[in-house]
Parts: sequence; C-alpha cells; structure tokens
Amino acid sequence: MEFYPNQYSEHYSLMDFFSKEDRNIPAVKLYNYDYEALYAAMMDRLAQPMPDGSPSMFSSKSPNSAHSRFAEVSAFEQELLGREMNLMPYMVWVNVMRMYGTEVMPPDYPVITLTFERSEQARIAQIDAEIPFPVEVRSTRDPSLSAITLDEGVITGQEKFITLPARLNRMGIIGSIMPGEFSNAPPLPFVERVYNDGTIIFEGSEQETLKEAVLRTRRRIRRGDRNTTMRDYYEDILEKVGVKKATVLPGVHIGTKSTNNSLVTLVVYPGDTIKVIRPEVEARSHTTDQIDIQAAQIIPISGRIDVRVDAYVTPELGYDLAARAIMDNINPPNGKWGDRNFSLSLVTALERVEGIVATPFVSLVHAETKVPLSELEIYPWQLFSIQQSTQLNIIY
Amino acid sequence: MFICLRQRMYNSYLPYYGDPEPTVIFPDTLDFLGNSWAIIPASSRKYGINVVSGIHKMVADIISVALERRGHRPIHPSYGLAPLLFEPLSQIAPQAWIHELKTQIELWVEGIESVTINLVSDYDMDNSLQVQIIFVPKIAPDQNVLSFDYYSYQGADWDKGIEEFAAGIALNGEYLLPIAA
Repeated sequence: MEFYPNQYSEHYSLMDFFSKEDRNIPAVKLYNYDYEALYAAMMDRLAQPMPDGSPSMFSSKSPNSAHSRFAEVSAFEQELLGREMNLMPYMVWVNVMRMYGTEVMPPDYPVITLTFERSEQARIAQIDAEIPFPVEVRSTRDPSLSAITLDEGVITGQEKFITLPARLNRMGIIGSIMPGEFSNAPPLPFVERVYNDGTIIFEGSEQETLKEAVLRTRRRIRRGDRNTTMRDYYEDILEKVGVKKATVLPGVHIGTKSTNNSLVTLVVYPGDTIKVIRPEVEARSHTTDQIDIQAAQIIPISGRIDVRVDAYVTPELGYDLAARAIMDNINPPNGKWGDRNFSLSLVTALERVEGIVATPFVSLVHAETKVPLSELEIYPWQLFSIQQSTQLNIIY
Repeated sequence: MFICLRQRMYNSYLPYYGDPEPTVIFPDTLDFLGNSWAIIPASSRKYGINVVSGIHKMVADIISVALERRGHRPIHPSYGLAPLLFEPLSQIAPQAWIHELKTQIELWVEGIESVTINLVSDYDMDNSLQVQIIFVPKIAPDQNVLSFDYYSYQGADWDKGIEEFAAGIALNGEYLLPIAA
C-alpha cells in the first residue's frame, strides 16, 4: 500500500462503520478524559483551603492567573498526548490484515450485455446461429475499448436475438457508454448485427480500500470457504455479478408446495447472469446442501390508482411524482419479496411523497390475466411490478 | 376619596411580598476576589511566587488580559486582545486598541465596576505615551489609576521586554516594582 497522508483517516471511516452496528462488541476509549472537565477539576482542587483552615494561595478560579494558565496547558497537552491512544493508525490495521493473509482485491472489469441478432434468412430457414465463447466486440467510439462475452449462446427456433453478458477490457468503474456503441464484431455465421442496448450489469470496481478489505476479511472469517448459514448464502449471492436483489428460501422448492430440508433456494433479480454464477455458488455451498438458483418471478400489476395531490401540483407533475415513487420503492429491484400487503406498501410509498396528499382509490389486478390482486396466490419468490398500463388518476 | 387614591398609587409600587425596600449586601472588602498567582512578575528568589489579592489582583488581571493574544489559550479562546492587522500610523490614541482592551477588561476582570482608558502623551519630557487605566472596584467609588508606558507595553507584547515593561507599571502613582526582585 502506498503512502497515506493522513494516517488516521482509515481509522475514522472504519470506526464510523462499526458504530452503526449496534450489536457489535462495544469498544471503550483508552484515554477518556475530557480536558475541559479536567481543567475545572484542577482549579477546584487548587482552590481547596489548606489543612489548617487557611485559604489557599490559588483560591481564585479566574482565568487571569498563572495557575489557571498552568492547569489549562497541562490539561490540554495531556489531551494532545493521550488522544492518540484512542486511534489506530493505518499501519496497525494493515498489519492486522496481514496476519489474516488478506489480499487486496485488484480492480474489476465492468460487465454489460450484448445483443446478437440472427439474420432473417437464417430465421426463416430455421438455421441455428451459434455464438462461440469468447467473442470480442470492439467499440466504434473508442477502438481500444472492447467487450468480451462471458458465455456462449445459440439462437434457435423463432428467436430473433440473444443477450449475453460481456465484460469490458478495461478495469475500474465504467465510464459513459452509449447504446449501440459496441457493434464492431468479428464475422459470425448467420449473425446479422451485434450491439449493446445500454444495460450495465456491473459497473466495475476500483482497487479495494482498506475498509472493504477489512469487511471482506470479516465475511471470510464468518463464512470460511463454505456457505453454511442463510446469511452466508445471502451475502455471497449479493456479491455476485449482476445481482441486484436476492432472497434465500431454505427448504422451499419452487413450483411445488413441498419442503425439502436439504434444499436451499436462492432467488435472484435480475436473472441474466444465473448461468454464469451458478457454478461459483454451488462450489461454495455446504456439503449437505443442494442449491437451486432461480430468477425472480415478476408479477405484472395494473389497475387503477387515484392519487389526490396538493393544489399547486400540476397533473403532469403529479404523474411524475407518483411514477418516481413507484419506481424507487415498489418496482424491482426495490420492493419486498412476496409482499402480502402490496396495496398497503404502494399506498405508503405514494403518500410519503411531498405533494401527494392521499390515495383514495386503489384497485389492482394481474396485468395479463386480470385476476384481482386479492385473489392471487403470493409466494416469496415473486416480485410485483406496476406496469405502464396502470391507470393513474390525479384528483384534487 | 383623594386619600384613597394616593394610597393606591403608593401601594402600586410595592412588591407583593416582603419589605417595601429590598436589602442588598454590598461587600466592603475585596476579599471575595480570593488569592491568585499573578504572572507579571511571576516569582522572585526573594519572595517566592507572586500571590496577590484585592486591588493588586485586579491590577494583575488587567495586565494579564492586556498581554494575552486572543486564541492562544485552548480552553478560553476568546480571552485576550486580537492582533491589529496594521500598526496605527498615528502615534497618539490608537483607538481600536483602547476599545478592545476596555471590552476585554469588562469581560474578564472580576470586581470591576467601570473602567476608562486614556492615553496621555508627554512631548515635553521624553516623547513617551502613558496608558492610564482608571478603574473603579465594585465595593466603593474609589478611582484607581493604573499606568504604564505604551511603548514598553508594545515591547513586552512583541519582543518579550517584560522586565522593562514591569518596571514601569504604577498604581495610583506608586511603582509595583518592589515585588520583582
């Protein structure tokens, strides 16, 4: 690690993080004197009368005196010396991490999606278009930037295109990329066009900081090499590329109503990278556990929502406010898994917005089957998504 | 009727409880100031540390405030005189310094009822500038005059010419020097 100008900056950021964990073991300050209280106590002590009852030579506590200056400087210098007892300089943290054998993670590549389109003739002739692994697609804006696919695929049947994850060839946080930028691909049989639609699965990461290394070491000590508890699985799956939201359902077998005690189901949103991360998760699972990774089942919801707004809110602004509240709190990847009180969550999210007063009428149905929400069976691997076709009325 | 009206007017100024005239206890000595260890001069071989009380304590407090730079004390950051950005070009009556010293004396020196500061120049004698700090303690309307030379004070403030400054401090015409031996 290179030279850090402020040798305590990492200490402060780690202490700030630990203070937010209310169940963490509490740390007592080694030097816990308050220098102003110490000064007051010293002046009080000096002002005490002598043992024979005569008044003290220092009975005045005003700051004009020499003994006040002496006590003040003494208390303050003690503070300057002692306060560092409560701090751990950067090098101490580093040596603790060296003891655990922590390796600092290098920067990571960003991951985007690439779309491969099959030519129309091949589709009509029912010829499969195979995309080998790996394929490097260059950017038209920056020739040194390219995206390399992480998976192989094949376009079969009546499908027109396939979407594959691809990593960039540049480490670190992704810069700005435009949709359609990555289209300079080598010629592939029966593939007409390659482009990226702008989706970013993983923005990449810079060189790991000390705090991230500390937290990663802690996770490894808790988990070891295998995931055992449900929290281990949850933290592990959330670290995987392309996972924004996850839940762990022990014993649940999706699609059936039975339970299986040795099965752990992980439900992931979005499900684009399941095929890539499945071997990694299975390798780290506890020996007696079977792992099943599934994509979240998105239930499209529509219907009618009436929203009453303040007088100063125009209908367009009201629609924007409601739509943003829904996007930020309700639709995936936000929102709760298998929310049995979905109407209540929706209403709470809308009414929390400044400008929206109330939601007097809410009637939700399944967007495709038109079954009312109250009659739907709700499972913990489902996420609700309010669709554009919902009728949103602004009333005053 | 008229008598009743006068009675009511008189009664309207009475407090609801207690005597018509409140009693206040004025201390007749400056003992309430206590003892203090002065800083100018702090000690001598002959007399030990310089413990002062009463009027001498007030004098020592005034000099302590006058010599402190504001912000230098960690626990009392507003104690002392803030430095002037520019040295006053006129040689007579640096008004900003006078005003600031008066404010600080009223803030930090105990036992002061009122204080006035004059600068008296003496062209005829030796072109000196005498600071006269006229202060009235709370116990009695006695005017005490503390005087020292302004340029010696500046020397003590900037160049640490403390002895020369201390030698010129006088209270009511008498030098305080004998204590610095």
